[in-house]
Amino acid sequence: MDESLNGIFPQDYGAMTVKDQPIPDLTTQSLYTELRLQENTRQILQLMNADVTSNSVETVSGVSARVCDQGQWGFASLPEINDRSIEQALQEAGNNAAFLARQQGRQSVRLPDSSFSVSKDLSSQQPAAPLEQKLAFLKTIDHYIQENCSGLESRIIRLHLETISKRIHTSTGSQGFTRIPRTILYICLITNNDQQEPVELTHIVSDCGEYKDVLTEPSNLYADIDKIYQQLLDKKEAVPASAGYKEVILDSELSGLLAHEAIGHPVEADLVLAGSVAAELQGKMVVSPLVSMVDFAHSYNGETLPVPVFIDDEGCEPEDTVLIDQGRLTSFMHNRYSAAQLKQPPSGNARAFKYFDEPLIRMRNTAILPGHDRLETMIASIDDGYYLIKSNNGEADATAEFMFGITLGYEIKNGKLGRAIQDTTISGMAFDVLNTVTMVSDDLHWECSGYCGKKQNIPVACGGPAIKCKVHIGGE
Amino acid sequence: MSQPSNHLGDTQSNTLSYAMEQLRLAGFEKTQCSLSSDYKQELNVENGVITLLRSGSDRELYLSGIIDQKKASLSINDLRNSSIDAAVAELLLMAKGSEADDAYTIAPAQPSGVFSTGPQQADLEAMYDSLTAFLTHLKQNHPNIVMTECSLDYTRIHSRMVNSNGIDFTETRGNYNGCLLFNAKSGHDITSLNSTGFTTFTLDKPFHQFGSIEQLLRSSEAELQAQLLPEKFTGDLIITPDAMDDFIGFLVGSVTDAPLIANISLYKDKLHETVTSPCLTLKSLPLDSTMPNGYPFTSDGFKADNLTLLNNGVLESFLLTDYGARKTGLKKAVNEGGCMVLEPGKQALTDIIASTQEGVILGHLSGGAPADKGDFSGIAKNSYYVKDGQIQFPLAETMVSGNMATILRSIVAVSKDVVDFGDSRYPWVKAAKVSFS
Repeated sequence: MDESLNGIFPQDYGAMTVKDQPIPDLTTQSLYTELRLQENTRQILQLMNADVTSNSVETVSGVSARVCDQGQWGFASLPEINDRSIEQALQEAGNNAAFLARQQGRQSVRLPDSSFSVSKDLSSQQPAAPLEQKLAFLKTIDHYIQENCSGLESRIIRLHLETISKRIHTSTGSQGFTRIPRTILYICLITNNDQQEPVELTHIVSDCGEYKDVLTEPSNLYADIDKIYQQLLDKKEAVPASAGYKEVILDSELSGLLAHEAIGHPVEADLVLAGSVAAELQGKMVVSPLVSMVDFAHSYNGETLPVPVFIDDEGCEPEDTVLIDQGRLTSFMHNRYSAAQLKQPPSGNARAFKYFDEPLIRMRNTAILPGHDRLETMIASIDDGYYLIKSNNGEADATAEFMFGITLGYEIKNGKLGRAIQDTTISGMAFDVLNTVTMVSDDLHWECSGYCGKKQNIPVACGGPAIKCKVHIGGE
Repeated sequence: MSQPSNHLGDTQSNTLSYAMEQLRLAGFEKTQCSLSSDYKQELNVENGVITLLRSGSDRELYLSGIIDQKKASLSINDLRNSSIDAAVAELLLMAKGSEADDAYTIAPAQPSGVFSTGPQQADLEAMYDSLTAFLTHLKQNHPNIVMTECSLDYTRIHSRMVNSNGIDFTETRGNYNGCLLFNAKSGHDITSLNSTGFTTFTLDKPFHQFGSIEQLLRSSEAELQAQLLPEKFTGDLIITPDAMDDFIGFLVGSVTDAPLIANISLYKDKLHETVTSPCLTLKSLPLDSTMPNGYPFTSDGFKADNLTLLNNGVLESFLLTDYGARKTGLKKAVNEGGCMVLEPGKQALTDIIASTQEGVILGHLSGGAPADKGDFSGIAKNSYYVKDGQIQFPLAETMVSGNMATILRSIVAVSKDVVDFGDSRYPWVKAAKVSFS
């Protein structure tokens, strides 16, 4: 490691775009080598009570390389895209791997040498929307809220636009270019209850695509706003949940989170290798046979999913990973290294967020598959329980224990919805909870508003139907 | 391994001068720019073995401009003049397309400052030796620990901020950061994941002696014998330093710009009033020489100072930026938070436990974000049941429920024992009348 990472500041080496930059032939490299060119752009616009409190754009681009030398990995990155930065990143990554190889000696790992090539650009076919148009959209929504939602203390409307362009080349011969935009709109309404304490509720619209492809007309959102306003009024009068082990219906937003947090994380192969509870369960019946769960690569029923991955950051072809098939734990999610360790095929789950991040095993579009029940029938089947609809976060454990924050839920009494409940938390052991599933609704709702935080943040999508099960709920 | 030079002043100065001039020529009346570059070397452990050495740099040119009281901001990391020209043009469109707000402004002129803190070069060999010794320590002393993730990095950030009122601040800061995620496993028994970390200027002691690492490793191994709570009860909550951020964070988050501007903060009318137990004195000390993550100036262009947020339970300051202060008519804070220090009390932790009739020592709260009014519930992870003054057993699947503001008011004891994480220093505190189920 005697080479310097010069060039913290730019020099004129003819920087080019992610897509057009010439790439050296990596297939001649003696060591397993990856090269990634990447640009992340993010625009945030926020109205708070009609004031523009955020109006920002961020662009982060650069090049990174990763090399495996005798089982030891070296990674290096530079914030420029040109011939010289590519050469430097490759050199430095090799030096870093060699440092560990010298220190730690030889390990025999034969990585899968599969190759794959693809080019996918999901940019909008429509002309780019100017800022004024986006702000006008937000202002129209804000005006509708002002006119139709009386008694609010505050309203926040936030538009989050993100596009990730990547180019990946590997020494195994893989080549890929993808450009994936994502649009998220948050509408947050806040009021005060009788004790003058703030009560809030957030509605989120999120999907793959640029602004104009996802948000066409403000009026399309008015029904959602009316609904969330009524739910906020219900929540103003909310009662605490009765703490304990309860029968509940988890609406689709929550079942998607359950799929991601509670089952998805324990079956990521790096956590399996670390000894997660899933390690000893492959091939066994672990949950109700009504439950099937898949981490989809990029599409479902012919439709492109919210976080499509057309080539992973190790140059592998992404495959749908069936995690649970009618109650039986079937597969784990892999990168090349874990696939080699566990002697299973790579699934294309190696992903990195920004150019300076190394690929890790990450989920993509994780969902519980729909069943055959009607939501109304499911509610009618419960004498004393809860219908839980919205969450603000979730967390999973190596033990498969999970928890979600609940921001909107209702009592169910004698088969009918009752009073709204105050913010609470639900928890349980994932496999135990999914063993109690007795009904699964026939719809499937996707969302991609969040980031999964596992060393790095990364966009993920969750999907699910409503499910009837039993969980622990916090409260009085 | 050689590293990028710290002597980047001329290039940085040229880039900033060019950007400021282009903003002026574009017609912006008030402008602020900052240029920061970071360099990182990071050793990564996966499942108990060092597997990856990562090195790299990033940079950010941040441009902010106000025209006709309309504001926009933008950041890029491609610093060629042509990219800056494009960014300035886009910024102008963004600002002109925005809404005017009288509260928009930039920091007034202040004396310039050049600050340099911490090691300016990584000692990779020392990092490798420290991490290797730690992994050996684990094998010898904590054989049941599975170190799922662990990293030790050296990070150096060099940044300069200028604005059209003449402010000019430069800082170079280097430090080492450790981060751990682990649990214990024995046969088919497995514990909850535990995590902690530290930041430091020097690797002057064994890795496991930083922060709370050794304590949590012992604790995780003991958690293999976790049991369910015998029955629901209302009792004492002893909050460990590792769990403190959840509770302190609620108070700190409630006195920042967003909730105060939106007029939804529980503490909006409580300045100079008692808002927590008088046991609590909480300071934010970014200038403290022992804080490796401190900062000499704020992101909105003001020289930072230390502040006391709580003085014996009295709220002494909000954490408002200049913009937040103008929007609310309240006073701007002298810093932007972080580097939190909760003053220790007089009781030994052992005495606090001994005086607890029934309660839980909370290692980590896994719960939903608390509501604006403070209500929360979550799982007590890495936690212990206390009865009749004795730690009885580690807990499994136990829910704790309450209200953050109420808990902060019901603190009855603060330990003299303290954990120094490098970026914060916290004792153990005990709150009364909390529900467990």
